[in-house]
Amino acid sequence: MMKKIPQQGFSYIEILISLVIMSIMLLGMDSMGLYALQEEKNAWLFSVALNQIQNMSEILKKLSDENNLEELISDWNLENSDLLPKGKGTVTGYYPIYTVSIYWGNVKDRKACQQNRLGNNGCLREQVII
Amino acid sequence: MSTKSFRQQWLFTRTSYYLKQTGLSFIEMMMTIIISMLLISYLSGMYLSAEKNSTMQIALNTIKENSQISSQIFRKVISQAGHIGCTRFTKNFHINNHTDLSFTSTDKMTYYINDNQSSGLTIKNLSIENNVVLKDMRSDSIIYSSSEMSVKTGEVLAISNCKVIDMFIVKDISQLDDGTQKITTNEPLSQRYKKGSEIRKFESYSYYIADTGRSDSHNTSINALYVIDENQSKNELLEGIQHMQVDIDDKKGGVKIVLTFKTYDLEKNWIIYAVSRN
Repeated sequence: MMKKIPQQGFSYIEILISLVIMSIMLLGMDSMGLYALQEEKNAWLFSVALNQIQNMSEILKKLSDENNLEELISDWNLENSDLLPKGKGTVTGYYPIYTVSIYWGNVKDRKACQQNRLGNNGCLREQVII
Repeated sequence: MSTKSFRQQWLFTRTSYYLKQTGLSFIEMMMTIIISMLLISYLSGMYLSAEKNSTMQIALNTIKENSQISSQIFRKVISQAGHIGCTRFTKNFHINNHTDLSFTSTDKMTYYINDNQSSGLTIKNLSIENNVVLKDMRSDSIIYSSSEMSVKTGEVLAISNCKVIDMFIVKDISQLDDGTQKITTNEPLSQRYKKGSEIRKFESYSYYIADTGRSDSHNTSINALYVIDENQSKNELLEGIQHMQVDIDDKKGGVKIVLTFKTYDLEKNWIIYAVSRN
C-alpha cells in the first residue's frame, strides 16, 4: 500500500473562510466611505443653514419702517426651500432682540428647536441682537 | 476471475486517489472561479463607488470652504462700501471731486452684467487706514501729512475735515527728513484744511466671474472670482465659481449675491446677503 502525500499549502475550506472574512472587512470599509460622505453632506447642510441665518441677521440689522418683515421672511423662505431639503425658517421676537430659527428635512416639531440638531433632518436657532 | 474483498477494493480506491490527484477537482475549480468572479465584481464596484464618494467628498468640501471664504470677502467689502472716514454720506452731502472718477452715495455699490450673463459688482470707498495733516495748509494745493500710509504719484486721495471732502490726484510727492511727506495736488482744493484733517486713499474694486483658462479632469473650463482695482490690477480670488448674480436693493441698503459653485459634477448655489454700514 502506498503512503499518503503530506498536505502542502491552504485547504479549500481555509481559502473559503479567508474570502468570507475579507469580504466582511471590505464591506465595512465601503460602509465607512458612505458614512463619511453622509457626514460631509450633513456638514454642508449645516453650513448652508448657518449662512441663511447670517443672511437674515443682516436683513434684520437694516430693517426699517419701510420694510415689511413678513414679506422679507417670505422671500427668505423661498431661498431656504431652494437651498435646503424642505428648508423653512422662522423669525420671532421684537426689536432689538430676534430669534431666528431654520429647519430642514423631516423635523416633526417645527415650532420648537430647543437644541440645535445636525444631520439630514436638523434645526438651528440663533439670537440676533441689533 | 479473482474477486477482491470490499476492504481491498476500498484501500485501492483510496490510495489511487492520493496518488493521482495533485490539484483541485473540477467542481472545486468551478466554485473557485465563481467566487473569484463575484469577489472581483464586488471589489471593482466598491472601488468605483469609493472613488466617486471620494470625489464627491472633495468637491463638497471644496465648495463648502470656497462658499465660506466668498461670504467673508463679500460681507467685508460690502460693509465698507461708501466708507468716507469720519463723516457719512447723506442725501445732500457731496465730495469736491478734482478727478474724472465718480464717487457719490448712489454709486458706492453698482452692478453690471458681463458678456457671459454673469454679474459684476463694483464697490467704492475710502481706505480704512489714513494719514493726518500735520500743519495747517498755507497753499491751496500743498499738504504736509504723516506717512503711516505710503502714497505714490498719480494715486487718488481724499482729504476730509469731517464736514467737507476734497478728492484729488497726487501730482507730486516728496519725503521730508523729519519723516513727513509733502503732497502736491493736481488742482487747488476747495479750502485750506487745518491740522488734524484726514487723508485717505480712494479704493474701487470690481468683482466678477471669468474663465481662468484652466480646465479640470473632465476637460470642463474652470471659472473663478476675480477682483480688479482702480489701477486695473487684476487678481484671482477663488476658483470654482461658475456664475454670480447680483441684486442691489437700495431700499434695504443691501446686496444679494447668488453664487453658483461648480466642482467636478457637483453644482451648488450659495446666497450672500450683506449690507453697507455707511
